[in-house]
Amino acid sequence: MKAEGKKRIWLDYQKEIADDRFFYVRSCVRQNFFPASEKVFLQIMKDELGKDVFENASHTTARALAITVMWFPSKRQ
Amino acid sequence: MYVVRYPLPQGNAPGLLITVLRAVSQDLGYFIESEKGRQQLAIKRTVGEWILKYGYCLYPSEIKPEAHPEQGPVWEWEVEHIHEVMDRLGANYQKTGPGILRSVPDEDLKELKKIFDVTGGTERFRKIEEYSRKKADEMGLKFGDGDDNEYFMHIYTTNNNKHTSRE
Repeated sequence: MKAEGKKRIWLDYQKEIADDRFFYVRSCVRQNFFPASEKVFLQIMKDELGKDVFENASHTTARALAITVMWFPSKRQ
Repeated sequence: MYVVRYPLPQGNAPGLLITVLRAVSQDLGYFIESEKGRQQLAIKRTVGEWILKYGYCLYPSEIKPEAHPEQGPVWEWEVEHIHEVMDRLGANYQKTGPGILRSVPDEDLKELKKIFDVTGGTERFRKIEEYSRKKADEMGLKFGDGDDNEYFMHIYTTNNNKHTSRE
């Protein structure tokens, strides 16, 4: 495949990342094994870069693991 | 983790195919016929149940250092002093409000359970237990709840060391 064609195809998979106002989705693996990295990351985002980062106590983690690694819906509602 | 949702440029999505094959294996009970397949009971009883119990797939109070000797004595020490360690690292362990390892509110745990109920996750958990019990009987191993039983320890520790062999 020509390089130009590859670039065009992969454009479909590029994601747009917001400049500001983020909802923070925590990782349960990182919270367990590297909790300080979560704290430092948010410090950098909020205090150093001045970004608006929102998080919610009701947010449950492991969605990605739950859905893609061990559990897949068997019924579509 | 998002990779599996999207097809490769060639138009296929290997991760999705693997996920579907595993789901079929769980529904029909084929997973009990292989060493690695049988370990799905261990995954269900740890990661799976912890998601519903705590809102986390991993949770410090459930991690037993003796089950992870590869992590060494430092890990054991951390588990023993988990509250002090988490406080010093800026966590909100087992406390209310947002933050690292916060306590997930009951209403949200109920919502998670409901999601498992309506999407078939709860039923699949039941099948994993049912087929595993059947296999334990077949193998002559004692079956019970949790990890303190013969069948669980068998699937957790057995390794024929041929999974990567080309022979």
